[in-house]
Amino acid sequence: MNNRLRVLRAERAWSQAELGGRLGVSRQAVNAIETGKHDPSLPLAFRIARLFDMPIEEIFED
Amino acid sequence: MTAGEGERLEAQRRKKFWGLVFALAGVGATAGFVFGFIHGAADATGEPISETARTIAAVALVIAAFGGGYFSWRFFTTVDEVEVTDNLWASLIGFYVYGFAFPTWWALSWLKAAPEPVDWIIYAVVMLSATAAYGVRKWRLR
Repeated sequence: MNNRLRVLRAERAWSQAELGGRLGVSRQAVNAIETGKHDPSLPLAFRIARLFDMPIEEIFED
Repeated sequence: MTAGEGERLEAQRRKKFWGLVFALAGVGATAGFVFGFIHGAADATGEPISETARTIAAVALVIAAFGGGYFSWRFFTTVDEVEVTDNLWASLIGFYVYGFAFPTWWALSWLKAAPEPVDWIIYAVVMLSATAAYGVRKWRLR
């Protein structure tokens, strides 16, 4: 699944660890999601959407 | 949340993760050391194990079992979904290896094509397979 997480994170000048801390997941988890190696669960996808104040479908796409 | 707060929280989470890993390892190592010492001493002297030593070893093993259960529960309620998924994959691979290895070895031994299955070898192979699967996933997601 493609996503815009890396771009959104870069826009805020956040490191992967910074984003991980804000989401309550590890830096490795952020990296796995950004590179498409892990599709986040629905609760985590909602947390990501809330953090960036965007709808889920604007962050993740098929 | 202020800038850098996420990094602080991530460092805190990492510290908790490693704390639980070391707690689990510590519980296992302590029980293993106590049991190993008593077992080794009994083997070396060739004398029967005293009631006191037997009790100490049994208590250490029971504490390790409960401690292992408690810290495992803490671990899985603390870590994120990627860590849980990695552990699930490792367990699945270990389960499949056991599911194939034991019956195959047993059948071969029944056919007199192999010696009887050795439980410790199967245990070691299962643990190594699960650890390797975990390691591969960690390496891919690093």
